[in-house]
Amino acid sequence: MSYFASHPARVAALAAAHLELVGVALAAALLVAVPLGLWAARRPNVAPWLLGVLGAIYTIPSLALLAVLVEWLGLGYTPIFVALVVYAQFMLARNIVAGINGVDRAQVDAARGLGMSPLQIVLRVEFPQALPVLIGGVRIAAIAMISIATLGGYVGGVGLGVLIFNGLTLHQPQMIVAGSLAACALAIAVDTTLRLAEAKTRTN
Amino acid sequence: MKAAQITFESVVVRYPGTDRNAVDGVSFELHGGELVVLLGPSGCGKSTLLRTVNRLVPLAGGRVVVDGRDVTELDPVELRRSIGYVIQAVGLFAHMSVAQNISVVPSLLGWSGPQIAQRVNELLTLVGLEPAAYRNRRPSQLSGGEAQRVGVARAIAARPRALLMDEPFGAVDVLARTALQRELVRIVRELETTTLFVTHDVDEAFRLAERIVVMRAGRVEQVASPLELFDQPATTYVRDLVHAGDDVYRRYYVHARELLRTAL
Repeated sequence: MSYFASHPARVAALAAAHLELVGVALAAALLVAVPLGLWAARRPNVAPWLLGVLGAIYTIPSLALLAVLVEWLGLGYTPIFVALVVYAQFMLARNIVAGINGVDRAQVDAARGLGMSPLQIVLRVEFPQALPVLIGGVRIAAIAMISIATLGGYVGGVGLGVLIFNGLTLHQPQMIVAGSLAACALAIAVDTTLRLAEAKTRTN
Repeated sequence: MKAAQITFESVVVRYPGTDRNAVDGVSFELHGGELVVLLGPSGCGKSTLLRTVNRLVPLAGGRVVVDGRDVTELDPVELRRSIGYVIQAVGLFAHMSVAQNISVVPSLLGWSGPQIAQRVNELLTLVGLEPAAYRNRRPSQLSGGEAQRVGVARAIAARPRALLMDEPFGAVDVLARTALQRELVRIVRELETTTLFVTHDVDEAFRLAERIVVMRAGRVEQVASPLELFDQPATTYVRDLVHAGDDVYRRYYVHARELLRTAL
């Protein structure tokens, strides 16, 4: 724990950068996954196929994917950012499809019959009811992303991975421990927050 | 809105991938303010025919005309907002309160907040639910009968010119169903809305209908008032369906019909 005591500002700054990387990547991933999931959910032929492809991508070891991305995009922030967005797709899209398919068909029939447009049905009936399931997906994705984001330290990126990989290079176990524990603390905090959000949307 | 005149002209519906017409050349007319019941067994095409009026089902032939306009010339979303729709499964929006459910169509039509709030209270009273007690409930906190009362209130909220009801009381227990039938007769009379009501229950058809359209295998067997159907059945199918000629049934139907219209 000595590294925490001697460099609190450094650990805090790296944790903040870590959280920012995950947050921005998660937002970008949602921008892709939400429309994709909403589109696929209505198409029984498309959804299994899409989730199959995303699931296959998800099984690629993260270090291997990152190596390929570095080859293509160079070192730094970009490859780890792209890797995070790609990994999150499966968890996010799967939960959106499950959330939408979980909405009672009678409500959709009623919504159509009462004169909601297709967009209004999605925004006012389907999406609000799929939201708790989607937040569940966001929670799982965020935790996985916090963990995968530590690899960013290996490719010249930002975040707590820098501490871990510098610790490895410099044989400084306290740095490794500090980086790992801080990443765990982030994951637990994010998990707790999103659990609360999930519970709140569920009761509404 | 003024009660709609609805005309079916040789209506044909065929679902993709089937080799038989679900509705096979149906023609009849609903006059403004009239309550007409479509009666027939499951799969006879009665729900499909009902769903052609608000364009939930596309036509393969013929025309459906509402107030002089072929429905295919109208914007489906606007058409549906002018026609109430009630289904057996109710389909209340689970994430909204009772008041929000009832407000759906008025708010789509851009009514003001106070106007909507007042209408919600009127409607809850009309369907026999105390506004203060029910306004803020969730659909999950309602019994089957209460849920369908809210379903009816939601359908008539924006004073539609017509009301389509697809086996609305089929999933409700017998006691609640009789109460709902009684309320419906009163509400339809009060609103003067043209109502098309689908059921497979002969008893229900006799209680509610001003005229009954008996359907079988996509075709109309007979269009007549309940007693005409009983006294002058056009086909053996109709005769067997209503037990024509059996005086016990006749007296029962007449009595059930009168009872529903007697204030308790």
